[in-house]
Amino acid sequence: MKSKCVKELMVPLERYPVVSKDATLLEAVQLFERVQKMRDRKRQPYRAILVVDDDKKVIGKIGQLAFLRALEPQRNILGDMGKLAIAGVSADFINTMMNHFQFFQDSMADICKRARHILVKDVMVPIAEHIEEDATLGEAIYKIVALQTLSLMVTRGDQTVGLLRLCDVVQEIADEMKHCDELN
Amino acid sequence: MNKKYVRELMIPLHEYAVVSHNATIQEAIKTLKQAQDRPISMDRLPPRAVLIVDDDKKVIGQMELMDVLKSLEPKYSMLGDISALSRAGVNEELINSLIDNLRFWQGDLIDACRRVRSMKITEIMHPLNESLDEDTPLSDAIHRVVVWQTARSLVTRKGEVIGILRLADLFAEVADCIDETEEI
Repeated sequence: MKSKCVKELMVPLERYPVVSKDATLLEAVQLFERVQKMRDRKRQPYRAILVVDDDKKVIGKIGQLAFLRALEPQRNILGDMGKLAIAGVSADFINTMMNHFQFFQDSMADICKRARHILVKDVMVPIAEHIEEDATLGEAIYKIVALQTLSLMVTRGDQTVGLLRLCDVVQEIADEMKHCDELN
Repeated sequence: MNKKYVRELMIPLHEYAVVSHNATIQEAIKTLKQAQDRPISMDRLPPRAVLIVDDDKKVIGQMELMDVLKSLEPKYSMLGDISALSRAGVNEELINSLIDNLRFWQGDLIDACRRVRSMKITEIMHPLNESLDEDTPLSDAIHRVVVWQTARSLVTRKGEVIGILRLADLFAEVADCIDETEEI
């Protein structure tokens, strides 16, 4: 494990589900469902889809939380309320505000109908964090913790070549702990 | 789609990955791995956290994947502020510079794994404060989960914890709903 580097653990870009920035949420959902059905049960499942621009360059991702957030018509206000929670504003106070705004007054069916026409580019989370494919796992762990992110884009020079996921890194640590047991 | 409630989507506590507060980190990871290898159903994504209970079987916290990485270096707790910088829009170059300057852990990953595996789970767990009553409509639950920005919430009946509602299951429910509304 000492010598392992990021490229040995990353998911190569060509194996990751990808949608165009101009796709709708409906198309993104259908892709999500397709890849979950076809996934390798020995590997951790995909919980996000990468978003690419017209030049096939990765510009963002849409995960489960971003997806649910997209359903909210007043999501810009909602975003600020999310920051309140992060900033430590009490849950009671936030609940009062949520009740005041009454965001989800529609039925689930109405919410889902609306989602079909939302574009991925309007709700994706831009990706800025990246790490070089030759970086060590130690460096990657440090960066994941520092940035509190579930994944890092992996680059070779200017080119994106894969995605390093928190779940795969933890799996590697679990294997290493087990290996320590076997040595004892 | 008929109106659904939290109780219909939650995972009962006895079906979730749970360890005693006396467990070590390694035991908790092992429990998580076993739960991932034996999913509740093929339709549900495997768990990514372990709940920690006290001697009275009361839930006192959770261990997420990020907690495992943080356990490798005690000073990682100082990094909380860096992720806040990222959210606040500070540019990536400055953040990378800070990360490089604050690099604590230069040691061997194997040594770190060996060191932490016998640590008590209570040293790295964090509380799970968010809860929803089992009779909460799913549309309301989605809204609250988005505002809380949490991957899972406790589900209660008359104040007593009876299960877990996961972001992954909410997402799957909405994805199904979007597909259904397309057909209508």
